Amino acid sequence: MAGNASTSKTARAKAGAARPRPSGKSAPGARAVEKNILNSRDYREEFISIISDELRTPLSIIKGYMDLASEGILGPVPEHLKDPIDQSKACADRLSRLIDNLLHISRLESGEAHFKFQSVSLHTLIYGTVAGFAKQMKKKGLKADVRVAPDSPLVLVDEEKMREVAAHLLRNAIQHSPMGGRIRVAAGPCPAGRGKKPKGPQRASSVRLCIEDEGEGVAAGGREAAFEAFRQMENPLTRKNEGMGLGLAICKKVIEAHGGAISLRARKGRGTAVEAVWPVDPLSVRSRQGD
Amino acid sequence: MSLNALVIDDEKSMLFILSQVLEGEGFEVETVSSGREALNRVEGRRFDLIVTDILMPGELSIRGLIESLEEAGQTAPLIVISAYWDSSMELRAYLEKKAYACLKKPFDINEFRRAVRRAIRKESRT
Repeated sequence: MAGNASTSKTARAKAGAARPRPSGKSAPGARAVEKNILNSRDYREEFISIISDELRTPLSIIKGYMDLASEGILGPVPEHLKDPIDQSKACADRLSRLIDNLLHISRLESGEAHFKFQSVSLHTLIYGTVAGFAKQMKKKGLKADVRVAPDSPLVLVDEEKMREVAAHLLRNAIQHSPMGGRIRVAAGPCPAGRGKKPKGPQRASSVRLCIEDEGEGVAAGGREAAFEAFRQMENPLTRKNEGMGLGLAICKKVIEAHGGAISLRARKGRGTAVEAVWPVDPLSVRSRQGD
Repeated sequence: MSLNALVIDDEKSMLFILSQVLEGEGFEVETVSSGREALNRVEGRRFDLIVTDILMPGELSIRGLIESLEEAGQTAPLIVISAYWDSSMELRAYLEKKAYACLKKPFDINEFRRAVRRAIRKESRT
């Protein structure tokens, strides 16, 4: 079994052992390592590497064994163990998301996140993301009202990061929705001011994505704080929902990196709507602004 | 005749988990715990699939391993498993070019199984 193998990985790397670094370059000597640790940027990278390897590797082993057990590959699973195994798998997935979110916010805040822009259909982006949540929605008896305007333009985005944004917003909406509630997802062009559709052949300059739930809403004071990392809207001692309050902070950073803005409309007890608006072509907007 | 897979990882548990899935897919599996051992194992042999972790003890980096496998004439599809998927865009681009599939830890075994099936289907067509 794994034993202490996973705990020794970072220690070996830190000690300047011959273990290759992620870049594939040789590890520097002890003196260089000391210098690097004093350099805050390298320290951040070291921190990220430690989180990546030291948490993800043992987590993949836990998840792997749980997967094997639930499929009966390790032997027949007694009925009374099926639910505990499923719960353990769900917890491993939750931990995995927390690690991913920590890494994402760390990179986005330090400006070290890389964006790979490509042309993507808004339909594919939205319907693809919603489809991935069918199981969770069914579990809560939620209905999804998804509308992507047929005249939606192709958008130039980092597809992976924009899918994460849509997934964060949808996951939040599911989490905060009451059983049997409805989630509204609306996306489409918005060229001249929020919510306005283009008239005639005019080409949309921006698009919007709005995800609305029928949950408990947010009190007035919490709307701005909702986009701050590690800020939870609920009392930590009584809160019902999981997470570290990173989802919306990540969404804000990603949307801003696309030259857009994100806002939240909510009233206590009357549901929440989060709307992101960003340019169809963030790169040309940037070049016009002389970035 | 069954297919042969070589799995390279310094975590014994990962070797066990990956081997179980591969055996379920009909592979005969050999496991090694370093890139150097892998190179010794492939000498004069042909594998149908190679699965490797991105980081292993020893002096051989993932780039070094891939280049050496290529020099040794190994054309088997390569599946790379990594906890460092987000760390280096340069390395990511390199692996996207060289590996058949790259899986980020922690991964679902079904995700791994799908990658294996696709890799083998692709290999049998070429």
